[in-house]
Amino acid sequence: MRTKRTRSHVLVAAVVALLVASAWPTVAGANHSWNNFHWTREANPLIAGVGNNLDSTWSDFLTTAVSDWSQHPELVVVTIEKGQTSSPDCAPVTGTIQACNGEYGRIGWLGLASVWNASGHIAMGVLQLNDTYFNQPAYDTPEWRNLVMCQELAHTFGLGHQDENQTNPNLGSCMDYSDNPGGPPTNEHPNQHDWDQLAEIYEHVDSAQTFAAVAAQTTSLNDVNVPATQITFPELGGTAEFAATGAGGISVNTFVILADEEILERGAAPAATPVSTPES
Amino acid sequence: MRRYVPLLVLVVALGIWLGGAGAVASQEATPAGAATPGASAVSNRADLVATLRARGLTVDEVDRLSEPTVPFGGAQSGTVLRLSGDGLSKPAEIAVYEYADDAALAADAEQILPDGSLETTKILWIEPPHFFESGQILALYLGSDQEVLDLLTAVLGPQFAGG
Repeated sequence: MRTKRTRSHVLVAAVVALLVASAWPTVAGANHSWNNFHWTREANPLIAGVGNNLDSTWSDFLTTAVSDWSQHPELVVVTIEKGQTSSPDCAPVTGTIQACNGEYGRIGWLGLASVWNASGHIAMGVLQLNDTYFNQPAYDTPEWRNLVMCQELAHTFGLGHQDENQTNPNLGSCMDYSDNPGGPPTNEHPNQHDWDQLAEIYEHVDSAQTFAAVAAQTTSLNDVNVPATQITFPELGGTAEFAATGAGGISVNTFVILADEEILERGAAPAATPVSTPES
Repeated sequence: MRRYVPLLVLVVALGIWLGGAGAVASQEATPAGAATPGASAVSNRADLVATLRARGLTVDEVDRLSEPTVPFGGAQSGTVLRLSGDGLSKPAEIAVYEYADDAALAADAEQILPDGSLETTKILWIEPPHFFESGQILALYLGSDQEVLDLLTAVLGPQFAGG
């Protein structure tokens, strides 16, 4: 008798567990990593330079987004760097994030972010902002511009959307779709959930690095008079050129990576292992 | 035995529910371009315009996209059509992308996942996207107007991706 009762309890428990498990994926914002895409680093923080190829209408919004995503410097440090591509085409540049804008037409999107992966790690990323819409009064507002800039930039770090329903109440995050980004609550900036997700994505470290590899390399060339130095990145099929441009040495924003033309032409990920720190 | 009846009912209900979910999932996985019964064979933009006009709609070309971009980068041309009139409570716009060959169309269509997202590009659409395929064209409707969705389904077949 006791055994029968135990069995029925087990059955009930199993049914309840099944119901809970089947409902689990519908919980909004439970996980908004973008396919677990991430940049490789040997240590945190992720140092992410964003190439500024934007016109002046976007400068303040890029500054705001960079500031927003630098609120946890133990995790991510974002800087604005000199642009290395051109708007509106925005060809990707290996080892960088490039930001562009332009009148891409009535194609339906306000902004997009693309990443190219090598062995499961982000090798380069671009974000593009469509002025065909931002030149219209409906979207030419600080609220819309902040939301889109903040969101597209975060995609290039590997962050996805918290919610993709435009008509439900705002979650207070720029990673939430909205038809009223001003709120309240405002969807113009990150919220704690975004930071939690980023912390999860970048909790581990890798045995190689991309952004940080270049930064480490440049600090060893601490001489303003050093001639431009080229270093080959065979894993990425490209060459990096380090040039001194200011007092105090070489900084991240002075490097130019000449990516493999074939990679750029086919727009595909370099078929390579994760970027390794080059030896100079 | 009677004491187990509620439990059995619950298990059967769960099975029906899960089976229904599977059916919905399989509906969403309808192959790209599969035509609904009675849907006409639209092979290009001109066909589409003619078919829509034959149904009593007013079709106006409101924009040309000289350089189609993601996710229609392989298209030869892009056109924004404004639809109004018979059967529509309010006007709607669709973007129609025409391809020179099947391979280019397939390459673009295959990168669009069933939910309308892309593997390595995140797109912030102004409205929920709905993707259709027929002949040498891919068509995109942004919105949630059921009249428009029904019209496009009748003319182009079920959407192959989108919300």
